[in-house]
Amino acid sequence: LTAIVLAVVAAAIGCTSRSSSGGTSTAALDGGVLADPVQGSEGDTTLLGTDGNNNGIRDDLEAYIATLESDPEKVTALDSFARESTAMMVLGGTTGTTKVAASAQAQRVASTVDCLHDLYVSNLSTKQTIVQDVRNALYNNALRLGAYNHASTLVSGTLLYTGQGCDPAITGVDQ
Amino acid sequence: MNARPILLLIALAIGLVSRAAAASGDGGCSTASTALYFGNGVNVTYDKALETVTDKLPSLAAEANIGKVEFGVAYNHTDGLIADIIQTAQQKQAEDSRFNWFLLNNIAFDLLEGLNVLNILKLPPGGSALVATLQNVISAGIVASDDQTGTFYDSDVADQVSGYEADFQAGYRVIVVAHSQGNLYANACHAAIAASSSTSLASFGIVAVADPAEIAFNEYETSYNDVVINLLRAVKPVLPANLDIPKNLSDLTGHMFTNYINPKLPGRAAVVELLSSVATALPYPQAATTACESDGGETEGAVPETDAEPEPEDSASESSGCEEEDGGSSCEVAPAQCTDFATPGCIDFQGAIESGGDSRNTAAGSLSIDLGSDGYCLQSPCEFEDCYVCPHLDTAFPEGATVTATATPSAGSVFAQWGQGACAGQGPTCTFVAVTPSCITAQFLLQNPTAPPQSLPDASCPEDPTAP
Repeated sequence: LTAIVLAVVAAAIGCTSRSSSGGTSTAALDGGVLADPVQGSEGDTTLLGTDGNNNGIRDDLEAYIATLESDPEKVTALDSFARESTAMMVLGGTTGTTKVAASAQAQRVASTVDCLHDLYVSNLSTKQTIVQDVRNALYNNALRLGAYNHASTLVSGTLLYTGQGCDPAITGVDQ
Repeated sequence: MNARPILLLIALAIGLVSRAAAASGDGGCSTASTALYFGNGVNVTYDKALETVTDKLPSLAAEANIGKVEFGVAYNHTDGLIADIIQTAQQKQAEDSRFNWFLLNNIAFDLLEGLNVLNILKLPPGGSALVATLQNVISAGIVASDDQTGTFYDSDVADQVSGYEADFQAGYRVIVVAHSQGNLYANACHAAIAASSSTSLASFGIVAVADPAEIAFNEYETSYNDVVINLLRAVKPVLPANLDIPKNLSDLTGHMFTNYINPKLPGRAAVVELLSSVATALPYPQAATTACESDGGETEGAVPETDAEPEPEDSASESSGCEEEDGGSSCEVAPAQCTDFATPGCIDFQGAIESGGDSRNTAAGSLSIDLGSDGYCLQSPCEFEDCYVCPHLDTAFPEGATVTATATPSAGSVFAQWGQGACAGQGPTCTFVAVTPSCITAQFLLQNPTAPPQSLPDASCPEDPTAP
């Protein structure tokens, strides 16, 4: 019944647009299908992708983040989130990763989540939209999504801590 | 003794990150702080759980006025469901070339948290069929994941309990704001802590939201319009709904944590009130407080705005007026004015012991209520000693009287908790003010069960304590 209701609602409004709050998303419609600015742009569907500048962030992802945010400090924080999340995803996709290693990396991701919260504290909904867009680009094929999921599985049962603000050693942001 | 060396040793021993290691600049003494964790529901990814904590919990804690708080995630993940979704999506991709992973990623995790219509509306034509397929997979997965007993014990629970124990030693009381399946983990941790340390258990509280469990150690909040919990209720025993959150377009399932704490909906006030009441009744670990105070002022500035009432001294000789009068075989305490709870101004209190255990043994314990000079025993006996099948206790107090009840475990048993009622959330020595009729239930578990999980006691208090 829910699906029927949704289908009716979707049909009623035409369901032809996607807009992130604050106008930060660059996703657009292409013939009725959402066009992903990242997917397929590099033709590389491996876990790591192409990282020409070797900074731990896929090149296409890094370029995409630059379209989402103009504030340099926030871009730095978003990059750190992408970099640490990528490292976590790689652990998730690597056979033999221990819970200890995954938990330590998850705590580094927690630091970037903390930092993003602090930078966007006056507009959390914008932050949530941008971070979700980054996730969409991070895990844009079955391999990456599966590794991300497995990384979560690895840290099940772990206590992760927040509230530490921007750790400059991890986020590159010194607040 | 400073807590930091202990924490570091524990962290090294278990190989996981500890709060002390993650924190900085606290001097190693975090006395009189609350460690507030979010216990996420089924298949929420680790970073989305973290985001919920940073974006949602601080305001809840501030509104509940629970003093100095540090935040974290008690992360739970259930294998399989996301993998199922990926597989389903791959099949859909084969059916419809318009499908892409960007689209899936945009909707799948929102679907996992609930059916968020605002995101569903972003779907292209034909997308609703994918949503329907995924929703079926997700609903089945949630039901399967939540179909567990409330006292399961696995390595995840063991790891979380280790972390909580480190918190207790560092002087934190621990509250888990648990959502959906997170309640099952929080309950399992509660049972595991109870089996090892009744002292620690006194400083462990659960704020249960969208609770799929059969029992709640504190109060809980479940919406009448929570489609997921209602679905569960059709296939397994689940606590009854008790909260009226109107259906709304932002979450058609009525199950999302954000729906329960939406400032525009009535659920938030209920969750805040529950958090406040749990915190108010929760003492800080006493040993760690003493240790930090002796370190020379490291607690300065860390005193919470709202302190829990200090636990009164436990004294067996003071715990039962009946026992002092006649040895406990009967109850002939001189009445004040409440020889009948039906008398205006008199409040009826009942008591019971609920004994858990495993298939071979049953826990036991004692329950006494200090009648003092105000209370009256309506039915003998008015205390129980070392029993696991106990008679019912019935007392009455003048309205406004301060009452002390004491639960004492027998050898081989531990005090687990008080069931719902005036003592819920307190330690083994419970103090409450007689305001409304209530039934207090002291629940005990085995200290060393032969094979976890051991079952928790069944509630034996009548819903209406004034009923015969």
